Amino acid sequence: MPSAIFIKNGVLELLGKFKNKLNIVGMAGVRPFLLSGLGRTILIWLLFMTLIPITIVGILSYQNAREILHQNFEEQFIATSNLKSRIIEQYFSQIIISLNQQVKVHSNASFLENLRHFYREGNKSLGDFVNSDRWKKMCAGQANDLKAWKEAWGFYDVFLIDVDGNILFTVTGERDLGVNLLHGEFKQTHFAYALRKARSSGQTIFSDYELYEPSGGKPAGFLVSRIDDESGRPAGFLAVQLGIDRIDSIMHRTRLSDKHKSYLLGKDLRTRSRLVLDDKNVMLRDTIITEKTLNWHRNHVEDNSEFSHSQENGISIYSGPNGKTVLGFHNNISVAGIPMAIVEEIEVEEAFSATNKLKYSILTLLAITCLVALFPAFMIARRITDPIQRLTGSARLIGQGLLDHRTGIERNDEIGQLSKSFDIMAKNLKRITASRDELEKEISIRQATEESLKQYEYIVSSASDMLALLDKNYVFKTANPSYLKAFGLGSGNILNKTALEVFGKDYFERTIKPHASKCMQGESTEYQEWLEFPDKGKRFISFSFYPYSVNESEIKGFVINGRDITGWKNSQEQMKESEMLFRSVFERAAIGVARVAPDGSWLDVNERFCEIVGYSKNELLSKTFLAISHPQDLKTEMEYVNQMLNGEINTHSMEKRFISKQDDSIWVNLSISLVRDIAGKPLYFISIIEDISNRKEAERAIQIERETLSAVFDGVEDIIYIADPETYRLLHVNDAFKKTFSEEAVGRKCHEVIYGKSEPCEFCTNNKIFGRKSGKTHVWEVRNEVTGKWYRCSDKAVTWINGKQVRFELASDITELKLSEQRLKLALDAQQAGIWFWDRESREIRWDRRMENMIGIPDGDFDSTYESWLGKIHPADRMDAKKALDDTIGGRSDCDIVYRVVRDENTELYIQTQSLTMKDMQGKPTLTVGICLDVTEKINSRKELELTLERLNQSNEELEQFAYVASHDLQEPLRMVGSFVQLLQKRYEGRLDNDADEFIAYAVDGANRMKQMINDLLTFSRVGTRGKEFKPVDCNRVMHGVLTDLRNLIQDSDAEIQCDKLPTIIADSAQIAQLFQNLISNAIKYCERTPQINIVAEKSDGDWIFSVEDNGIGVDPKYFDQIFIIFRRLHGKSSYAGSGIGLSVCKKIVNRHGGRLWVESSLGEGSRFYFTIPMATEDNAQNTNASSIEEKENTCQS
Amino acid sequence: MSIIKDLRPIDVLLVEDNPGDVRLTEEALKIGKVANNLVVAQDGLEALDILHQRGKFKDAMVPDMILLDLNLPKVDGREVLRDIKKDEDLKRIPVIVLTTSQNEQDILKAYGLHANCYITKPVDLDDFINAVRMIENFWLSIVRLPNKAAERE
Repeated sequence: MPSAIFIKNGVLELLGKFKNKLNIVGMAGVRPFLLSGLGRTILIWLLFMTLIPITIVGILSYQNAREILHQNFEEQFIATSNLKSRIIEQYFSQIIISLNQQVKVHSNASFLENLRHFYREGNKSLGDFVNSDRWKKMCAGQANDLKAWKEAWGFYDVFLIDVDGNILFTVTGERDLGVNLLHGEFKQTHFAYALRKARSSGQTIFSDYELYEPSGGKPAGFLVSRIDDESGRPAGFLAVQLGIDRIDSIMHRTRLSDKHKSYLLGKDLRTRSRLVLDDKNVMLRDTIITEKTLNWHRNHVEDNSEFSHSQENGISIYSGPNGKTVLGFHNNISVAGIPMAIVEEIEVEEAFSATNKLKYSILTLLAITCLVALFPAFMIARRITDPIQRLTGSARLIGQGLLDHRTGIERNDEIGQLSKSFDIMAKNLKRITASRDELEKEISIRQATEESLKQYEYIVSSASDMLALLDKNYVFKTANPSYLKAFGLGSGNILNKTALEVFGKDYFERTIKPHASKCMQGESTEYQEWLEFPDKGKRFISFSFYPYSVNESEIKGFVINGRDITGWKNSQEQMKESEMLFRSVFERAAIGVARVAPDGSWLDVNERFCEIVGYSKNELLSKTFLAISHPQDLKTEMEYVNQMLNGEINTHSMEKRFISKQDDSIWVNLSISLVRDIAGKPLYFISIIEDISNRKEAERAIQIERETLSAVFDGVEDIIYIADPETYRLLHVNDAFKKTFSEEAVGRKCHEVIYGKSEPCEFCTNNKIFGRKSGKTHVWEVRNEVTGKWYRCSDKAVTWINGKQVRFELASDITELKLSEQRLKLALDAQQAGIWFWDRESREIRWDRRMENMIGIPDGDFDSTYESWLGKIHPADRMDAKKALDDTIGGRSDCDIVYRVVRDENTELYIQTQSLTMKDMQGKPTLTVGICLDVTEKINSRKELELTLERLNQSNEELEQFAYVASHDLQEPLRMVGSFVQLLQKRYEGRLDNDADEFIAYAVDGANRMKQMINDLLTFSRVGTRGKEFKPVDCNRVMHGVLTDLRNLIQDSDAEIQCDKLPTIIADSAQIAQLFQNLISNAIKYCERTPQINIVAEKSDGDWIFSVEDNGIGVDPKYFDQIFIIFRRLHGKSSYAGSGIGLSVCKKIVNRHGGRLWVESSLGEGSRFYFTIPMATEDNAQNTNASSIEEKENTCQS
Repeated sequence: MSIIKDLRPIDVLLVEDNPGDVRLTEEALKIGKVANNLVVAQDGLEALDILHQRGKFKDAMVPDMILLDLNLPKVDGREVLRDIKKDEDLKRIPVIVLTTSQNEQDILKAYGLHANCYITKPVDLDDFINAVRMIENFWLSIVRLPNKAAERE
């Protein structure tokens, strides 16, 4: 049944989807891809009719097949379960029979009796008894029968149990041997229950299967039978233990498929056989809970009702043990009196797999049928709906007025006829419509004509112009009211009368006839005249005559149009008058007046302007405004003009220059205003020109004078200003003033700007130059606190432009002069320097006071003789000093000498004397001036310094010698220690005890290390003591040698070394080689990847900077200093070999060469070692300091 | 080779004031394959006495080879060398200067005084032993020296 529903749903769903698809296509608005609504309905019904019978047949056959299968399984399950139940019953009944026979066998009873007897006697615990030799001996003699029986029947075990429940014998001897079954640890087992039951009933009891612990938890069942003695009293029990394998194999004897389960279910709802072949664990462990087993349990186990072979309601479908739906069958069975059920289950999916195939075949069939039927159904539906659709479309088009449209369906059936009738209907409809349209058109034209006639009439009659139409015979045909009114005529008075009749012969002949006759020839004419009108009086009328023709062929008459233009005529007269007035003003004005067009051409000029610029009127009119303007004024002028043209300003006036005919610049004052027309368009400029060249000339003269003066002032370095003595305001300042004080000084108060004071200065010199002293120059010096400079000022009163007396000051900067004066004084004071000069006339030496103090002569006591000065000089220096002084006095040379002066008994001074002699034009010495300085302290301290330096050098040398000698001489004893310890090791290793070997090893190691250190120390000290002379060294050759020496190291580490071209330096080549070797081998050694080393040399400030860059492990900046210290190592000996001498040697080498060595690095980023070597200069090429040590070295070798 | 055939032990005079070096030299010669009598002079004077068979050394053997240290008490090794090489009889005896000095001047001077070879004592024991054995091998096995007996005749 469910599959029937499924199929139905499936088909409906399919159709539904199909329908949706059709809808979607329909809605898209295009012509339906498949079919319209009606077509779709037809199509769906056709499909339905085709599919329904197939569907019904399919459902029926599917159900039928399932029922047959169901029945088949039921029969099969009944048969197999019955068979299994019979086999199981048979199995158990045979064992029970055999067991009962064995119970009656006497040897078994006596064996038990004996065991029980010895156990009682032995006074041992049951456990000990079954382990005793006696027990073993007894068993060896008497248990053979039982063992044979066990083997023959395939029991798991056989038990002999006495009447108290003591297990006295088992064949296998598992843990239950020697245990009391009724009271011991296994008293809760089914076995124990069965024993109790057997004891009370005397029957053979099956314990049911259980997981029996003594047998390692294996499933086991027990059959217990009571052994009675001869008197029939219970003497003990014989029990057999059955494995579950037999039952299990029976249950699995007939299996239909993998999905078929057959198992034996106990009353605890646990299975007594495997559910699945390879899963033994399920047995007796998991409860099998299904609808069916619960039902079985309720009916047969809980009720404890009598048990019989019966099948539980036949076969049924329910949810199986593993959750899958199964087809199952339960068969009740009594296994040696224990109720159990044989369950046969097969998964429904498996059981009905055949029907599933059937289901899919039916569905496939349905789908194919659907597809096959679809095409014919579609064609049929389309044939019906297509023409209907086209007819519908046509009807819609005709409805919209397209009467020419035809359906175009060519068919002979009913639809064809319908279509033909439709076309005929459309044709008729069109004809009727056409005739109606023509009529309507004619009516509307006529209406329009009438309307326009009325409009014309209205226009003519309401016009203020006088209008009349006359035919070619001068007969009035029509006239408008204005015409009639003007001439005071009624319409009846003139219509159909000739003009001759209306106006009289005179007027007709004079005016109307000549013009009318022109009109007759197709010309329009006009004329004006004054006319006397009855009501308006005299008016000035303009008459126009136009020919009147119909269809522009024959002229049938003429139209008179009279217009009153009296107002215009009057204003014309007035204009003429004002023009006359303007011209006379224009021409006779005393100032220049001109009109200029916006493009700059002169429109009109008056006489005065012509005079100003010296051109005649005609000459001027042929030029432009720009052409005679001075070029320098044009820019400003054009700006104004543009502003006016843009409407920003209305007028402007400026002073400007014209170039006259004589090529002079004429200064004029020009005022311009722009005249615009009514629309605002610029018409022309009116320019008023006033000649101001005389005024300009005077101004210019003054300006030049002032500028000249100003330029002179600005040109001087001295500060110049002019100030009003009353207001203190600055009237003029020069550039120097502006630079010194302020750019914006003029107008501010002089004391503010110059001295930063708010009040006039207390030292103001106004009172010294005005009044009585006016006209004198006052000169004074002042230090300006603001600039910090000294000035020499010259002040004077002068007359300013406005005639007023003002203050003029010129201030020169004399700071340098002042400073050097002060400096000299300070210097002499500070140095305690004395000054002397040689007076040539009196041949005397003049000393100042400091001189006397210095030499130690009381103030003024010096007798000024040359000899007494020489007398104070130390005898040893006297000759030299005299010669130098004689030379300088004689003008032969300036002197600079140091000599000793004996000041008193205890004091000797060092005096430095410097002097120079001035000479006259002929080169004769005139004056000798000298200074003396006490340089005692300086000389003493220099001597001390020299001494200290000498001591320092000596101590340094001694220190180096010490290090060298120490390390050299230490080698000798160390050689002894090392050699003998090594000898000891060689000869006695392994022959003394272990400690000795270890101690010797340490001693050898220590000696080796010390050897290395001494070698290093020697290397280190040799840098200083055994260096070679500095010579030019080609670093490229040195590098080549170094790389050759390091060949092995480089090859082993795959190092890549890149070396720039290196310079030639002045150095010790062996040491430079060592330097490079140490740095490169370090770079290779302290590297954890492929070393890449880059060596570069650059020039910098007289040094060569060499750098060795690597990509090694780097150095933490905090160790930068430490790495250069001797024997200092940053890494353990185990990670990087070496004694820590390399970099300190490098440093020493670089220091010896007068360079510096440093490193730039960060941890893990590689390092870059730099060192500098001074470049080869003449100075250091000669100054080689290396060789001095060589001889000393020899002495220390012995 | 001829000397070995003579089956006469070689007489070696070691002039050395450092007992350690004496012992090391003895040890090195002991390992050697040439039988030798090692006579040790503790200072330069003693060495000259032995060579000239003076005083208590008047029975001393004239050595086949002299191992001479330079820095010696009493009479300096350089003086000893000069003396040996001046003596008509003694100058034929090969003198091997065996010293700690690595000084160029010493080396030059030693050869200037006609030392037969100049060896700096190796610092390492194995090197030292090796050096002594090479001296032995070269001077006592490879080199053919004048026969002492023939000399005396």
